[in-house]
Amino acid sequence: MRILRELRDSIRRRAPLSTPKGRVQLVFHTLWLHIHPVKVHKSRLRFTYTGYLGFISFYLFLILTATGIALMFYYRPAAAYAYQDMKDLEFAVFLGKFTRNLHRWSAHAMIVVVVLHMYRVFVTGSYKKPRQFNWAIGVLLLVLTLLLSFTGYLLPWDQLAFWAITVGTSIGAYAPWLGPKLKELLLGGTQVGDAALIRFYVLHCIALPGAMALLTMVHFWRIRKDGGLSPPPAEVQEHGAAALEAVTSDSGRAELAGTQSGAVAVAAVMAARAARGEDLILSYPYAFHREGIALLATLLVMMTVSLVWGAPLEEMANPAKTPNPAKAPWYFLGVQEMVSYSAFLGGVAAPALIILALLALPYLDTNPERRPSKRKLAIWIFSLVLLANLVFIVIGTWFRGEGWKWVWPWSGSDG
Amino acid sequence: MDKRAQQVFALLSLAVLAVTLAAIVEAGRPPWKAYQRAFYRLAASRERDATRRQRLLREPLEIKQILLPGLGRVDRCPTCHLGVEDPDLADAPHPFRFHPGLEPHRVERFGCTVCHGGQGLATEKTAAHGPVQNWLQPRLPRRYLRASCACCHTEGEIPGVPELGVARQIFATRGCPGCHRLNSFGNTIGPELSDEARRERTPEWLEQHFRDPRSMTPPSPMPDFRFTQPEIEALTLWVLSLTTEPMAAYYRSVPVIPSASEGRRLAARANCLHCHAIQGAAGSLACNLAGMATRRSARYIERQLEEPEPIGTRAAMLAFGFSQPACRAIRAFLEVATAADARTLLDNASALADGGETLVELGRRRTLHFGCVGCHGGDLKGGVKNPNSQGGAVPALIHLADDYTREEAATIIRRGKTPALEDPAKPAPPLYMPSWKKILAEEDIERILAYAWSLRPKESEAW
Repeated sequence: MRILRELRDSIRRRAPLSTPKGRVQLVFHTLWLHIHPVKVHKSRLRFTYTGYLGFISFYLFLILTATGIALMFYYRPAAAYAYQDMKDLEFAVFLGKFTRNLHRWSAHAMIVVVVLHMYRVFVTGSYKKPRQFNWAIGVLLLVLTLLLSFTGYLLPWDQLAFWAITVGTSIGAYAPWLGPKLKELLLGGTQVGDAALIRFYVLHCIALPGAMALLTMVHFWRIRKDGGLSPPPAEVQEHGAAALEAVTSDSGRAELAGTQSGAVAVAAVMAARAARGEDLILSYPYAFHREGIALLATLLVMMTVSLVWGAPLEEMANPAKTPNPAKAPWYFLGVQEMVSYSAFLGGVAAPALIILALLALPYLDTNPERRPSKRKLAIWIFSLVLLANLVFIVIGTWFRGEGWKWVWPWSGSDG
Repeated sequence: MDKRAQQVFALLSLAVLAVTLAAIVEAGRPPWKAYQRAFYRLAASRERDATRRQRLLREPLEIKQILLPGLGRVDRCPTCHLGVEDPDLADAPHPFRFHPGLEPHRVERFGCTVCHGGQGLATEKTAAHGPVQNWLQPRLPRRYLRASCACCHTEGEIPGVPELGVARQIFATRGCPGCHRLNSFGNTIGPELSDEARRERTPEWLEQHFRDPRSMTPPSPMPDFRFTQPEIEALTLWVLSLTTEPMAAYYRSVPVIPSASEGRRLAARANCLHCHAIQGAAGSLACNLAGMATRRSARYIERQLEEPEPIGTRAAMLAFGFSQPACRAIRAFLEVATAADARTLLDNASALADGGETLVELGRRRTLHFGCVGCHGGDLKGGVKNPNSQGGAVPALIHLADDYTREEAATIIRRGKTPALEDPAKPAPPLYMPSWKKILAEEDIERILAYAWSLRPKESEAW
């Protein structure tokens, strides 16, 4: 017993959790938790405010890392072996099929959740000063998520993989001058083959996850450094009234002397109230419980889905047999649909403009207003761009048949 | 403090644990384990010795597989089909029954899927046997199993499967290469056939297609060749054997089996029939090879091939420097060689090197070999329908000499030609003259034209 107690005490150097001191120390003295503040604002924990989408994205990344490492034990990135290794995972490796399903579905889910997270941050105006830079980091993380999924798409080396990457890289090659060179660099040649497979493998397993991990750290760090999670806009409004009062009253005027704008006044009032501890609660247990619930819910959904639905694996890649139509991965089908109207505009100009616009957004939109009800136009435009992409993806997935001609999904294929 | 969150957290923990356990249980109970357990129980019930019976019941359950690295195949079929090589299990129920008549195709050399088709990597019944999505080679129905013979036996007669010889003969003489490419020979109007067995065509589909091509692929320009039922069955079998998987090359490269087809190839290369005859066909300088395999022992024949010795008063055969596997292969060929073989061997030899035939005769052979007759008809008399081309059919070539100079005709062969439309409003005719310049040598064109010129009907001279 004594040894056990000593072991425990040597590992966790804190007071028991039943004491407030212990709860504070839990955050402070644990490497993995100390990115959290000791206390958080009550309102930031509301599920309806953030949906915990950022956390869920991160959890999915963790699931993907864990399952990805497990899969790496069995997978050899060479055209002669890759497909057979997929079959081995399905038929001969203990839990191999489940692990691959979990990896595949989590990758799809991550794209969806990351985009939803971005949408939430936009709608609540959380990208505005002083969080502009973190928004830009977030956009880069979105691009990395897409690239990770895209590079992983090739690895099973089936027809789906081969032609999706062939189409995807060809779209990229529409960019003038740089496009074809980039394509060749990525593929290690002019078409998808062994060289492309090893390049995609290294990108997928080392380069991109490494970049992702680094940028994720920056992203989290900046949340703290930019003042914690952004307050809900409604709260800002409420405090705005208080701030106005403060500014108009004599004492308040003195307090805020030298400040420049209403927003700063609001921040100051909120900081003052927070300092009085009015809406602050301890991270443990309130925040950690909720984050844990988000983690467990994510796991539960992804594992259940993986238990029920198998990840697709088509016949082995065959460069001599072009499926018609050959489709890009679903998240690039919007781009492919635009390419069918104009290769350069749809395939290069529009996606590049969208990424650039997203990166520059917080610097272009200098309106400090955060309440969605006062930013209807901005939200409409943002929603429409997302919706347009979604519509294009739906069209590309279900309404495009042979020769990229329009088909009705219920008319049935000639099979 | 925060009771509800705690409760939800606990509940979710339990749910995640449950799903994890479900995944582990599911992964730990694959259906093949049940089969193996049943097999060992069956084997134990037939075992009299008590200790051996106990040992059988304690056999570990494991995936059993045959690796064929040369073919990149892994056959996991023996995981369930455990009695394939045990004659005592001849009366056992499936999937444990003994496989009679395996020799010489031993399991450890050939696995199962090389002949049977199916997905060797799979360990579930449906996935292994098919048909399943995304696996192009389902298990062949028993009736068509013999098709697989031709995957490795790519040349010559195949013992027990005369249909495959028939089908090859049809392909070589009825003009199929005129439209279809097979192993880089032939033109490209129709689909390439080299990998046709891996295109998810069922035998029924193929049979119906040969009966009436347009009923299966509506716009098909393939002419109706009016195949007989036996011909249709032969062609179906043969198409089911067409694969680019290098099985034949692989099994030839590992000379374990004295393969008759390899022997035939060697006999052609060494030009054996220059001197020897088979049942009276071909040369007369040396002994008749027919029945040789029954007259002489295998060892004698193989030794003679390796180091020829004088026989009686005759001089020794030339030493061709055959390797031992080559000698065994040639001996295997002699066991099955027929007069027809001798004639085709001779034909092939003369198709490559002129054997004194006239230019016209050489040209005639080439119209068969390259498939001109597929569209222009036997003896180039025309007759294949080609809707909306002028005249509604592919032109006969017997009047070629009246309409063109040789140079003009040669140009058309080299470049190809799209037929003129009869009615510009209707769709273009399905058949057209493809370009031949990459396939035909100049002298081949010359020979074909010499033949075509010779076909000019006599009365046309009255013009």
